[in-house]
Amino acid sequence: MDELEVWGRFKAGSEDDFSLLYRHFAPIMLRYGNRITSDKELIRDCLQQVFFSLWKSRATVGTPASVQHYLLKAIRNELIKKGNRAKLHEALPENYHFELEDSHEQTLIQLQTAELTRQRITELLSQLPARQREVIFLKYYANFKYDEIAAIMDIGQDSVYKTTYKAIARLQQLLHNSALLLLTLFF
Amino acid sequence: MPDMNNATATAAELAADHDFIQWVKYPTRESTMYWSQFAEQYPEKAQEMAEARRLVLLLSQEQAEDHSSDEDADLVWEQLQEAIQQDREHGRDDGPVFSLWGYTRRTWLSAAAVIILLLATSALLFTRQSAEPVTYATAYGEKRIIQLSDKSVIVLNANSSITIPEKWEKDEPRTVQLRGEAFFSVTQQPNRQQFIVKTSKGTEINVLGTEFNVYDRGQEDRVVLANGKVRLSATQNGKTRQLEMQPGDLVTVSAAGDLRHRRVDPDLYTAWQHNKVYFDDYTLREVGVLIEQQYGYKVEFSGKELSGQRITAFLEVKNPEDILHTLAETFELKITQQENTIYISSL
Repeated sequence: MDELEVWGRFKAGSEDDFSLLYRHFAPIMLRYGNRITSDKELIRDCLQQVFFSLWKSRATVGTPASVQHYLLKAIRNELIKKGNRAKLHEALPENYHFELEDSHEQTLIQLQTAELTRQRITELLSQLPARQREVIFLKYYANFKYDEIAAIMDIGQDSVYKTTYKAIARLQQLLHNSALLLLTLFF
Repeated sequence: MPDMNNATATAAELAADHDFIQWVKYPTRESTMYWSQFAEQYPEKAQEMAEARRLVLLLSQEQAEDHSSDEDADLVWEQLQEAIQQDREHGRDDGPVFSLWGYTRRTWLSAAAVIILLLATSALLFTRQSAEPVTYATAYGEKRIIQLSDKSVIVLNANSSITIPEKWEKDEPRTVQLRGEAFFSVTQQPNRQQFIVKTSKGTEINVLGTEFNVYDRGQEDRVVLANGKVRLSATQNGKTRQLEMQPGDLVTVSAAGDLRHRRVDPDLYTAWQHNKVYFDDYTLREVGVLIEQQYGYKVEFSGKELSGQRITAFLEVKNPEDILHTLAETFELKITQQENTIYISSL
């Protein structure tokens, strides 16, 4: 989809294009929300609010360089505005014990399916501080550049890079403990 | 970014490097050249590079909790429509209105009008049941997005066609006929009305509300499920085989009606929507067939040995030249074109 064409027709009042924008970007916005808070209802409220405001202001809203960037920043702001601190993700303590598999063989069998690998990675990521998880999502899943992430999170570019690096170094350590990395062959 | 010192780069530094990430996720000819030179220059970094690559791929995946997101998206969409409708009824909306939802406050009078209109339309529908179905088709190198009346979306790949009845009957399955390749994002209807995709080889994919890719070219049909749940059935020579698919399943249906199943990353198989192509251990002959089917060229290889070579790659493709360049680089090939035929031979 050519997002700027769709955006232009949405601004002109096309409901079909509004629906297309929603279908295209709502899933990634919900996923991003999951990284920031575990409160699903809050995420859904914020998603609705962002699109409701967008529809209301369609005639006056500008045309962003990247629609995805614009919408992710919008839902982040909404989550911070609406969410109280307690609801936002708290990292598990550093010494959180990671359970090793009983045996090497069992690990192999369990890693046969992509779904299980996914669950293990989720488990590992949940041991990182909230900010590191958020950066990982924006960098690897949403594929933004460091300066774009800095603009979404309202922090310096250097600190985005440092946070990313720290997250990876920590994950690497956790992965080596669980021997997962060596067994996960994608290509 | 702080300049990476290549000689001392660790796996974590590589995995955090923007260019490295782009290369792993969306390799181009230039970046492949750059990183293979890097590997040659620093052979002791091979292990760090391999580990960095795996880290990038692991982190780019979806997370387990992401699966519920799609149902949430449908739920919020319904609430959003209600909120917009309510807002409109309170008269605070000064913009253009959704034509689908009407533009007046509901009164007894307009409700009556609506009922009469509905009756008239359904009568019309009833008499026009034999109405001609609509066929959408794409040319070589073209893609097309089609939104159906039930808000389902179909993305049609190049050289493909899809036939859709002019209207859906409420109680009958929504049935479409596909030739070529398409991605489907199907809405779930309140009455759990089914959605069925039929291919030219007699495979039927039966859906409730989900996202999946259907490939109906060459020897076998290929179905990849991204989200939700589908039931696949293949009928050949009067025999029917059935299978329930889970997200991440790829099922192939051979000409003889045999079903084969394996686990894949669905993103790779639906990447063509975003002008990317994934060669999953393809032979060069298969790559040639893809160029023929999607762009309409004829592709000739100079020998069986060459056309049997295999490639695994994930490429950004705007035109067939992008694929050919990569092949030429990887296998050291000579590629020439005469009119509509592309000739490929070893250097």
